Amino acid sequence: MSQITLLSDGLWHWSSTIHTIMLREVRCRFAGDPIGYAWAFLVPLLWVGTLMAFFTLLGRTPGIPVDTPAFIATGVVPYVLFRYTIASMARVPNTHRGLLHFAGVRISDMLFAAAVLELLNAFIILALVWACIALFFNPVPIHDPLQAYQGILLTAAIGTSFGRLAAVLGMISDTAKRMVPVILRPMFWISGIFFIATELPPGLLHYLYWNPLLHAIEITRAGVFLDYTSDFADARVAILMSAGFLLASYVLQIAAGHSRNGEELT
Amino acid sequence: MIALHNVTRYHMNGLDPEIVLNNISMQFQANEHVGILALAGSGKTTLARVLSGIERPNSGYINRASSLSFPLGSTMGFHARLSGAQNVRMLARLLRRNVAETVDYCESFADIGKNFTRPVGHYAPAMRARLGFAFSMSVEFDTYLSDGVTSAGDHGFRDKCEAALFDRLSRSGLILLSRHARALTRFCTKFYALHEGQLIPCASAEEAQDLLDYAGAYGNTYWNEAARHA
Repeated sequence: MSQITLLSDGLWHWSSTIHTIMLREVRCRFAGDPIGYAWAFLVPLLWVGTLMAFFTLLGRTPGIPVDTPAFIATGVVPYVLFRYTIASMARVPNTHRGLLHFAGVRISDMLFAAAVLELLNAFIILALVWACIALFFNPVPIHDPLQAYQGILLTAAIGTSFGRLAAVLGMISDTAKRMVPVILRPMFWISGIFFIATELPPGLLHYLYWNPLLHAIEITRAGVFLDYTSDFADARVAILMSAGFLLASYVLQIAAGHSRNGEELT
Repeated sequence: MIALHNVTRYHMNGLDPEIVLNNISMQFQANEHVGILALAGSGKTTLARVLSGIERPNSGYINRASSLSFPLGSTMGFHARLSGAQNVRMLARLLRRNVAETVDYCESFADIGKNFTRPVGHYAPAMRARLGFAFSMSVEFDTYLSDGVTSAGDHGFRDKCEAALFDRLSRSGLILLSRHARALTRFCTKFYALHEGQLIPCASAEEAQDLLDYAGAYGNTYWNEAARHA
C-alpha cells in the first residue's frame, strides 16, 4: 500500500473517530432533558435577552451608533464560544473516559472533537441570534462577513488553545481543575461584551491589551458593523497567545505523561 | 503478535516510585492462549491497561502487530444516559464495524428485552454485564484480552458466554489475567505468574500458583489448596 493510501486511510479513520465522539457528546450532554441539545442554543439566546433587559433598565446605549441587540449579540456569541469551548474541553475527558479502552481513541481526539463541536454550535447560535434579531427587531446585514468570521475563528482559537491547556492541567491536578473557572470569571466583565475598547480608560486599556478575547470581539464587531473600525484590535495578540497556550498544553502533556488517574495523556 | 519491550510501569507513592511492572520483555503470538496468574494488588489490572494501551509504560514500549481487544466484558465504554442500543451503535462506529449487524447481535446475545432501548444507567449490574459481554463477543479480534472476566450474568447466561468465548478462541488468541488458577487451566495453554513486577514462565497454572504460594504472597495456603482440590 502506498504512503498516500495509508495516510488517507489514517485520516479517514481519525475523522470518523472525531465524528463519533462529537455525536456521542451531542447525545450525552442533555440526555433525558425534554428539549435536549436545544439548550446549547437556547442559553445564548437567553443571555442576549437578559443583557438587553439590563441595557434597557439602566438606560444604557452601545458605544457605537448601532442597534443594541446586534451590539450585544456580537459580544455574547464570541464569549459563549470561548467559555463553552473551555468548559466542554474540560468535561469531555471525564464524560468519554470509557472510550479510551478502545484502540485508536486518545484524549487529544476528545479535546479536538469538543472544540470542533463548539465551533459548529457557535455558527448555529450566530445564525439563530441573527434570525431572531431580524424577526423581532431590525435586520442587521453583516458588513464584512470574512472579517466577522475571522473574529469568530480567532475566538475559537483562543478558546481551543486555552481550553486544551486547562483540560490538561485539570487532568493532572484537581486544584488546577477547580481554579480554572475562578480565573475565567472576570473575562465576562473585561472582554468587551457590553462595551467597546475605546470606552475604557487608557490606563485600564493598557493592561487589557493582553486580553486576547477583547481583540477577537473587537474584530468581530468591526466585521459586522459598517460604521465601526477598531483601532484597538490586533489579531496578532490573539494568534500569539493562542499559539502560546497550545504550545504550553503540549509541553505539559508530554512532560506529565499520565493523568492523575493513570491514563495516557496523548 | 503483541510484544513488550523492556516495559516498566510504576506509580508514585508520594516521592517514592512503586514499581508494578519491572522491565518486562515478552512476546505473545496472535493465536496463543496465555494465562497470567496474579495476586490481588500485584499489577494485574495495570498490566491489562498497559497491554490495551490505556496506560503508557514509564519506560519501554509495546508493539501491537495484531489487533488486541478491549478488556473482555468491559462496560467502561457505556454511557449511563444512553440506551443500550445507542451505546452499542456508538462503539460499533468507533471500532468501524457494521452498526446494524452489531446492534442485532448484541440485542440477541444480551437478551435483555425492552431494556435494550432504555438508558444503561437504569440497568441492574447483571444486565449491564450481559450487554458488556455481548458487545465483546460481537467484535472479532486477533487476540482477546481479559482482566479476569470470561463470562457474565447468571448461571445460564454464563454458559452462553463461555460457549461464545470458546467459539471465538477457536480462531483467536487470548491473554487472560486472573487470580484463579482454575480459570487459566480452562482457557489457556501457556502460563505465567506475575510476581514482583515480573512475568515468570510456568508449565501449568498449578505451577504458577505454587510459585506464588511459595513466594508467600497468598498467605492462606490452606484455602488455596482447598480451592484447587474442590
